[in-house]
Amino acid sequence: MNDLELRIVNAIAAFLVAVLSGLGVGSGGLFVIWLALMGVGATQARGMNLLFFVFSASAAFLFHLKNKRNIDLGLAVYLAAFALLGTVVGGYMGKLIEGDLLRRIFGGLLVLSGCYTLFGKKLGKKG
Amino acid sequence: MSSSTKTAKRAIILATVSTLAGFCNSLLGAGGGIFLSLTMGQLLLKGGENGSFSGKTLDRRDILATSQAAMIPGCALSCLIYAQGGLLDTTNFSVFAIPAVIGGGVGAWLLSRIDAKWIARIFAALVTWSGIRMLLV
Repeated sequence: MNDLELRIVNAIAAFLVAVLSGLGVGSGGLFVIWLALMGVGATQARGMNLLFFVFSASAAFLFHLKNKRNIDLGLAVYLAAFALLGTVVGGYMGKLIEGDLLRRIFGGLLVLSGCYTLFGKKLGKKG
Repeated sequence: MSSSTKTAKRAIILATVSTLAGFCNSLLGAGGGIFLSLTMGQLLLKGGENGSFSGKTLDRRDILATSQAAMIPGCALSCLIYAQGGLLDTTNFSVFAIPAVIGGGVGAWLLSRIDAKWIARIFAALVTWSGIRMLLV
């Protein structure tokens, strides 16, 4: 694959992942995997994924604002303030915590949550 | 439980989960927003009906859009922290930037046009997929 073809394939993959991101259903894992396939290292992939999310989510946010979607801005600001706090703590504690262990605990919780939403009778009825 | 006690309880839970979401995003580079969306869905939607937090009525789509918006500043800060530590190489990012913006806009447009049940299913499938990936990779 030449450079131009590689760029086109990357752009198509990025577009598809960004559509999922714009839907608000999460896409970070997919983009990190794509970057890994392209030979990007894990740490660099994490940083690029965050930057990618900032671009795609900001575009979605502006679209929602323009179209007057019922985003609760007060709630979003409240949540963002605490997320920023967590980011700062995570940024400074990153070197102290075993990332592998955290990732596996987090992964287990996600699998349980996802299966519960997909197959749990209670949530299934909620639609 | 009185209405104000319920609201206070929800506020504390959402603050805690948001903090953890920012923490996870900072450490893992992804995934925190998923937990925030799930928690908001559990707390704010009752029996599939619309819910509210600060007076505004929210449906499942609004919750996804609101939680996504809440994650943007934390992720931007994480990018700065990564860049400061030399862990963010933007030299090859240009190829992803424009598709990210266009795709994000298209996804937001689709959000109002896809059945809420399908959004929930896509969301749950991606949550499960992300979890399996985190466990195995």
